Amino acid sequence: MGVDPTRFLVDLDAPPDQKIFLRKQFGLDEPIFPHQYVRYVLNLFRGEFGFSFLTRRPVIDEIMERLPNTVILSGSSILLNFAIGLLVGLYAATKREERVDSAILPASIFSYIMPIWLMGLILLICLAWLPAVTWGVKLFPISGTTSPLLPPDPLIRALDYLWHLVLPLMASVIAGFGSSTYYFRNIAITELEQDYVLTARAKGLPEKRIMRRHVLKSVAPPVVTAVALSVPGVISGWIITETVFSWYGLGLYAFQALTSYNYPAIQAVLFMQAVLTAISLYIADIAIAYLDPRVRFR
Amino acid sequence: MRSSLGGRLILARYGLHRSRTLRMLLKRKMWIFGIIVLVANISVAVFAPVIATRDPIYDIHVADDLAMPEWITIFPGFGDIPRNFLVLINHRDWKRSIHGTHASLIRLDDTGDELVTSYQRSGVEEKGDTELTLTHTFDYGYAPPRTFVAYLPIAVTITKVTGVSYKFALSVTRSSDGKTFVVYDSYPPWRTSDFIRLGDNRITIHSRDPMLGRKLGVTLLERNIAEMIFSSKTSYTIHLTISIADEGLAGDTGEMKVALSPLSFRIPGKAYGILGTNHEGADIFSQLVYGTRVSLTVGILSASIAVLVGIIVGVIAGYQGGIVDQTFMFITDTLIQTPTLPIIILVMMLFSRSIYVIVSILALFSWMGLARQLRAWVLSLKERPFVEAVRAAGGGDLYVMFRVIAPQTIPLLTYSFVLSIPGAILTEAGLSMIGFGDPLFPSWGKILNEAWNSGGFASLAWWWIAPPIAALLLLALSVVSLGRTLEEVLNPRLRKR
Repeated sequence: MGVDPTRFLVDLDAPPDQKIFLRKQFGLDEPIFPHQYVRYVLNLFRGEFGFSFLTRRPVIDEIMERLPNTVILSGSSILLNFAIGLLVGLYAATKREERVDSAILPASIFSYIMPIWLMGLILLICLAWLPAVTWGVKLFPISGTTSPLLPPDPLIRALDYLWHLVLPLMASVIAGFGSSTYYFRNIAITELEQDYVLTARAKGLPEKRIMRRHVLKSVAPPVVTAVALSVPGVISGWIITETVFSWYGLGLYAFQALTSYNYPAIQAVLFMQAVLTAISLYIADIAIAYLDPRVRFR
Repeated sequence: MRSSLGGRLILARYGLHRSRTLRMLLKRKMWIFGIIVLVANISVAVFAPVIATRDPIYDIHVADDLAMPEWITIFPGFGDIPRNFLVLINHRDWKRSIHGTHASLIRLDDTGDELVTSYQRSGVEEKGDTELTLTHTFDYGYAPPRTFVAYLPIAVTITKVTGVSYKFALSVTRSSDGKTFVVYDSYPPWRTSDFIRLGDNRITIHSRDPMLGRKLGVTLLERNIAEMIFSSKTSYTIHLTISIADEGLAGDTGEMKVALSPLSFRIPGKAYGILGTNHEGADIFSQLVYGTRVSLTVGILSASIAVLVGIIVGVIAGYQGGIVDQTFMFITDTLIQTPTLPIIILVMMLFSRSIYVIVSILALFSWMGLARQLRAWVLSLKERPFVEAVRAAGGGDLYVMFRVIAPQTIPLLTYSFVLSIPGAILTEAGLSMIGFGDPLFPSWGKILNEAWNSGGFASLAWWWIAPPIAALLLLALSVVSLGRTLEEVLNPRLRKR
């Protein structure tokens, strides 16, 4: 199954020994199981993911180059989404079935169905291409992570990076706050009907204090779970978006690796994703045990 | 009994009757909006061949590249954008004039399908030039076009004469200032019977031809020839000149025949159709109409498969329990955590980009949530007295699972079926957007992909980018609002108290 990677590296009419030599160099002449697999697993423990078929550089170097970009983009978007979702969702829950709530609900449904890449396309044409083509104003960059030919001043570089970050982040927030808002609104509505809220109200506590002290505390575990469950999606979920924005991150790297049959790179990215899933769920378990007194460490 | 019993049972248990459920649904605006949009989409998908005017894949160059929608011409300032303009000069419509020394040797015959000019030579021994000029005048009433194409199907046959040579010239005269542009000239050299072997029976004149620019003395990078020639709204005259030079050889007896089929002169419009054209002049409206089929097929098919798999896994796992349950739930949990998109792209890279592959993989990765929910429902349902009663009456495991318990979960199935449609539609669109669509189906994502890759964004072709985005969002929004309303009505936990 699949495609012989040496096909991309040597000429089609190159002598067959060269092909055999190349296969040997990449270790592809051995049987996949157990030889190749055992070597792969053993190498994982040493942090070696093999060499990219395309560039012949170590895959781990290529991943480490791109990892900060993905972490910055997806991390900030997850944080922003959940912060907005929590605030708006709790607010909508307190104003249930009032005008504000009935405005928030369709907005969150709209944001829930809007894919990030589609929002990205809309933003790109409205905020990047339109000003650039009609008025010649470079309001936002069309693609990429950094501008070429920047002076080595770190402040300018940071500002330039932020300038490139704006559009993808905006797209992910507009297209992402809806699901968390809807989720937290529903959780908060069930919480607000609990007896302890009634008790707190009967004690005469102000609504804001009830929300901040009581409801927020019991909403926290599901929030942590939701955040933890959204972390594993950062690589695979961002493939299309990073491709649209040419964001120099792991999603684009995964896409390029997939479309060029670059197996070591694909394996490495999927492995990173699995590790990320495990770590985030583990951290979430600990955090929930810390937040929820009913759950105890054993 | 049978499946209808289950449906009635469950609805009755939640205080819902079929008519009352329907009435509750009809009261909601979101439901009505969703139904209207969905029905519109389905009818567009069904009647796509009737609604679309062009084939979405194979029809290209129906108008100029990046032509705007035609309705834009009703706005001021856009009124004289060139529309598709075709002058078909029938072989009988030419105005003819023959002059020269050997004019008497020329016979014209337009009784057949083509205008046949025959120059019959029999024993004349003097040199001479003859010229046949065909003219046709037409009016052009739009702004300067971007390109023009002329097809001149002309065939020359020379039998037994060696001393006769010919040349053609095609020129356009603008009547406002009398300027003449020679757009085709076969001279030099004079063509003789030797040339016929090389063949020139169809002359194509395209305004983007660099040779044409050289002939007119302009560089294509600096001037647009079509704009230069058709710069004003006036009448234009096409002259087709066929010159025949006779060397006057003695004993050269035979004839030369020039057959001219209808000449077509075409100016591709910069405004065309309902939604204009894309980078290769294909009709976007037709692509959009056919794209409805792809989106609906992908959404409904993959949601159906997902629900089917979900029912089987969820009900069996919940009902059987034990090792079966653990195995199924392990598979479910593994698939939930699997990154979907890389796997889909990998499978498409390795196997095929057929739409059915997309549908099946999308279905394979979207049944897990439903299976888990169903398992939870079945766990509680199987302890109910009526299940016990059926079992006591001798109902087998399969009968109980799929005839008694499964119908009880119809409300859950209904709204999870509807709610898993938009995800599939949008994922397919996203895959098509990055180039992983079925190349034989014009999906909405593919339109966006073409706009993305072929300069639709850089040229701000809103008529190209906005329709697929709007169609996708409208369809997804309608299906989601249907699903949400169903969920609210059918799920007792969410109903407003």
